[in-house]
Amino acid sequence: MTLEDNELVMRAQKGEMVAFEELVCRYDRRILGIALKFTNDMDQAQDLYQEIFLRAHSGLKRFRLESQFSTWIYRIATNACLSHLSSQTRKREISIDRRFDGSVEDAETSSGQLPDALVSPPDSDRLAESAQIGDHITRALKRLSPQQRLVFVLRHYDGHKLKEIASILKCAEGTVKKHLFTATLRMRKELRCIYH
Amino acid sequence: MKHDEYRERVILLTYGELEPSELPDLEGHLRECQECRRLLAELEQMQDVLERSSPEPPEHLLWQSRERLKASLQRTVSGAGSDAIGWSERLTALIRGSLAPVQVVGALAMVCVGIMIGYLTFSPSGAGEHQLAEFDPFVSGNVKINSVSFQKADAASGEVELAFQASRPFKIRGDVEDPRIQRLLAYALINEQNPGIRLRAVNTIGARSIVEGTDLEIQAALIGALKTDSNPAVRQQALSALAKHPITPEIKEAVLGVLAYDENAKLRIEAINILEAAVTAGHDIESDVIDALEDRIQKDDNNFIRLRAQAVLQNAGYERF
Repeated sequence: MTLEDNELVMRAQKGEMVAFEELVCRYDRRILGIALKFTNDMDQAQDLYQEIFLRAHSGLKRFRLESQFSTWIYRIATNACLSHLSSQTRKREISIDRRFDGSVEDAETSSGQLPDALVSPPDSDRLAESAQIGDHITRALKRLSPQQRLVFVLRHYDGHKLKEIASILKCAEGTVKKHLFTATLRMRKELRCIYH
Repeated sequence: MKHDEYRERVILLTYGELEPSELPDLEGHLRECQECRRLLAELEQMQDVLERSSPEPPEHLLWQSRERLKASLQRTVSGAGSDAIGWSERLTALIRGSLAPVQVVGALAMVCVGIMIGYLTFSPSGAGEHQLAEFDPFVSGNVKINSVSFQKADAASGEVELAFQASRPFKIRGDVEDPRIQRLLAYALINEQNPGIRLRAVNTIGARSIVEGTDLEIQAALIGALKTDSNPAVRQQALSALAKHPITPEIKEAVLGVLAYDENAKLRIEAINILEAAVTAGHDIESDVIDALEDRIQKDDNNFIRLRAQAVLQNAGYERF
């Protein structure tokens, strides 16, 4: 019989490591995928994975089951992604709640600020077509603002509905839509050369 | 409705997020607006391109991440002293095969911590709180004190209770087969930050001539190093040392993990050698081993590994490839 997340959470809160490991195994593939899409770097994605689940482990006792565990763990993941990016780019803390609630930083002006280190080195002559497309998509994603990229990755690659993303990011659904619209139109512009 | 609002609805449509009640109006607009039709067509093409180029994270990356997390959690839990299971129960459970690798490593760490406390308090019969309370760091010499904290301070009575960490250097000399030496080596293999020390520890463990079936702490340390150590040389030596042990379900699981996920081809070859030796020694070749070898035959980018995996299966009577 498969235990519900909440049952596993309660067991993990009592110190059952096996229950926590089961929770990790339920979500870690998707979260690693998000971290990988977000950083485009295996080492950094691994570091983010560690940070996300260690944060979850240390914060589990404070989790009151008022929201779903999945929402909670994705919230930790998205905060970790934004903090990571912040430390990579601007060396200052980002508060996701502030960013997504009302006083949102102008997404357009903050785009394209990822460090060059996050971009794969160009070696297009030797790359197969699929790898070239992958590189192109990576470059296009990097030109999105962190918020746009998070929303786009969560919606497109991870299949979350807009309501779920709003819940994960603790912001209004309209804010999520705004980021998704901008991100989608930007990606369309950047990737047009692939399918034309 | 403004044109921009229709563009947003087109985007929502491609994501399956458009309200059904909004669809007829949008369809009417699409019949009249060439720009929005082009947007819809391009977005569908874009979705197709993105879906084709978004593979799952590589299995080896997931495996490594999980093992690193297990090791980190083990350190966190043992550091907090919050684990209620005793080391003897852990070892008993290990024999029954009911513990996760992280718990195996935890059991080992607890054994080693117990030994260190024993040394610290000079107690030949083991350390107790009473003896620790009577231990005077200032007369024992060469003791380093840190992490002093106030537990209680009563101004009226003048009574103060302090907690602190005290450590001092020790030397131990003995035969490599000495269980105390073995446990210290196992502790170093799992906990030492310096990869050179870890490598020497695993080399020394691996050089032993006697390998007892009951040597569970050492086995757990070697498995832990094999799964979590970032240094391929340490993993290689841990695997070589494990090859001397009778193959147990825990060892087999670790070896299959290396075969499937370790990025180092030498380690994958060594894993095949161990599986082959087990088959040659008369162990039944079980379905998980067959699956792992077939997987390598199909997926490994190293030609030698593909051929070796094929040879092992053929020699064991499996001629599918």
